[in-house]
Amino acid sequence: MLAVLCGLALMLFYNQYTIPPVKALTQLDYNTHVVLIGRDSESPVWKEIFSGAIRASEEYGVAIEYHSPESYDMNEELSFFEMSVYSDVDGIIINGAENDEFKKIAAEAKKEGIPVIFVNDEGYGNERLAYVGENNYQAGVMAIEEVLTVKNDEANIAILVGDDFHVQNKNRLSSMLSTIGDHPSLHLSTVEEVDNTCITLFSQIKELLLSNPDINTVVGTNVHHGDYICQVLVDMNLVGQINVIGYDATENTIRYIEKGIMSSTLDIDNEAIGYEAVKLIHEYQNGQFTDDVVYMPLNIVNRWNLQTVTVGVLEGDEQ
Amino acid sequence: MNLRMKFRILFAVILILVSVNALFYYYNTTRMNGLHQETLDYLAVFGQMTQTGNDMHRAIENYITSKSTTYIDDFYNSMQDFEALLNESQELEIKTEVALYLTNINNVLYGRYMPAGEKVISAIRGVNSDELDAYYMEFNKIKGYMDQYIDLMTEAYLDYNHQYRQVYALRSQKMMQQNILISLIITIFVGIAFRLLAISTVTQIDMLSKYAKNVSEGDYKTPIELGGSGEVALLGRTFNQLVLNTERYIDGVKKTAEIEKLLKEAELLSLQSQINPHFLFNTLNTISRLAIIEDAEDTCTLIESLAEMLRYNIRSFGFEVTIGDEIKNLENYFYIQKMRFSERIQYAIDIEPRLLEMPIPNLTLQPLVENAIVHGIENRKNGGHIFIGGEMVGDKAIITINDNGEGIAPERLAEIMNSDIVQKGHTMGIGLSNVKQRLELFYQQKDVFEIRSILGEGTTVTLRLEVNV
Repeated sequence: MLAVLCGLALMLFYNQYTIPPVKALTQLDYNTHVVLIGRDSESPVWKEIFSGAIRASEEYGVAIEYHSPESYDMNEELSFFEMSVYSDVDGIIINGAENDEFKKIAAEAKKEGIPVIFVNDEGYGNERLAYVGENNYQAGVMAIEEVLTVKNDEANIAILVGDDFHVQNKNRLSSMLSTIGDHPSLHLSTVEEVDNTCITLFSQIKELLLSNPDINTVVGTNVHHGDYICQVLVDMNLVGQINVIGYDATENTIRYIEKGIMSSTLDIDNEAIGYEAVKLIHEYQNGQFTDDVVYMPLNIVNRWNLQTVTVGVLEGDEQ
Repeated sequence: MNLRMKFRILFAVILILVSVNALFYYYNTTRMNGLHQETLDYLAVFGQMTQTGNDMHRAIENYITSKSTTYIDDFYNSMQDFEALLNESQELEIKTEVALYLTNINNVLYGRYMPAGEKVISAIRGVNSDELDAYYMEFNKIKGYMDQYIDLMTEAYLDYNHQYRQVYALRSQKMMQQNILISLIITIFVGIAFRLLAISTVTQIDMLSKYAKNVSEGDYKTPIELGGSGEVALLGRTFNQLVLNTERYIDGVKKTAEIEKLLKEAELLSLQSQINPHFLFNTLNTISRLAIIEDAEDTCTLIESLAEMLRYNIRSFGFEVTIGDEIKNLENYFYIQKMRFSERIQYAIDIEPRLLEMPIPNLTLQPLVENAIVHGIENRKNGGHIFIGGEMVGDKAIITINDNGEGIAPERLAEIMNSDIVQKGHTMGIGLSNVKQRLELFYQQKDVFEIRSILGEGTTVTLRLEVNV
């Protein structure tokens, strides 16, 4: 009889505790309040950065306040930036930029003693606490040198750049152009500025390939480019005739490489960027010395090393 | 454990189980209601924040247009209200996101909004009137940021709330399933418990009723065996005792009936021997009177003795008499026998006087004396001596009938004792065995009667009678 009673009681309590309590998005007991301002809440890049930031926040007891426009909107981004500065938070992580308004707010933050970490774009000036991200110049060199390894003969290269044509893209582009100049077998066909929105991006790439039939290599400079070039190639039945070098990876990117539609891509560990940025602010707030620039390791991913490298892709990303 | 206790415990267990189940359900429902209330509290505070923020801002706008200083007071009053709201919201159960936004609002309010408002006020007062536009724009922008934070905070709370509700709905669902499961388990448990109780109790009752049926049909021999210490087992033991007592009572009744049967037998024999007692008595009386007329006094006494003896025998047969009555009857008998045997029979009676009032079945001593005469003295030429003694030894009266006659051979003695056939020569036709049986039944013991005989030396009959019968 007693055994039955005990069993029932145990079952009740077991059930009470097997339902996990609702987990708040961030730590409840925090010592540092960090604002992470994204550029595009739908972008896999920012999702990865956010997840890395959350990982660090749990580790260091940092609360993350995350804001992001639903799609790229500089004004909204700046407004979040200024709000955060006015709120006197403990640290801000934002995509670096070079426009005056951005610089003004960054200067205000510096005046208030708020550490600002730039990610992706290195930015200008002394306003930032640190830059965390890939070495943009090195990234450009690596992308073009990869063209040499996949293309033995003459290459006519088209480079896509986004409409958020900022410091990082400029650095990347300039390093690409100088690398092309270093190698006689490489020829620059065109540098095409394309939109960031998906539908127009597709037709713009199509247009580019139709109007420049001599192009046999296309190099992307943001996470969307590689995937869309591949879609256009499949659509125009040009697979195998044009080499694609992507920039950063989504799950689809990996699939395109597996199928041989895309030659290679650069792998950037965005999750680690988010983690490092939060860690830096935590260290700064605890009076530790911080580096001004933290370059994240860069890797080339192609069909030969796809099985051996771990590509920093968030699970469930669908682009 | 008795039956009442078992039922109490069972019901207590059921009650506890059901209560615990209900309590969990109640707890769950209360939590859900608490969540609703919390949501309302939060939204009320957030709504008031927006409202008060607008009041603050409107006060400055009114001041710009009217330049009336009462609006400055309004501004500061609203500011105080806003502070109060911030404090109030701190007392709510704070979620992390909400806490972050509250901190932001707090910082913006004191660090930016208030200084900006004061700048606007001082610009209007003329201290810095050139820059009024720029100050006012900044002031508006900050107000916009504060509103945005309130919106974001509300959104974050509702988002959290939504997640919480989803999890809670899941929990409720699980709780419901669990409740059903527990109810089922309780039902099964109660069923089993009742079944066990019923098996132990009902089986015993069945056994008891079967036993009662057997007893009612006359089978007393096998007592019922019920294990355990419950009420039913007690009932069984009591029933066993009852049956045992009844059996003893019936045995007693049977014995009484046997005594009566023997007496009837003796009575019948007695009746057989008296064809018409009244005729006989009348005749004897006539003879007795005739004897007196003829001056034959001995004959008269003899006949009177005979008549008295016969009357005693007939009248008192089947009644309880005293030893004294028996002795008197014996004396009549001896008188008659002395006429017959003359000096060949000598007798002596020595009874303690206190024994004379003792009850004794009638016709006990006379058959014994007659036996002594018939078997001991009658055939002896020299005659014999009969001694009848009575004395108290302990709590028993010992009556001895002793003769010094021929004695009885052991095989002959056994024959006499075991035979129901009336021995020839007995006046009343009552034999030794009859006397023995009647005495045994009367005193309810076996060692009442003892006969010892030595061939050529005589016979002694000893009666050991219980005084308080």
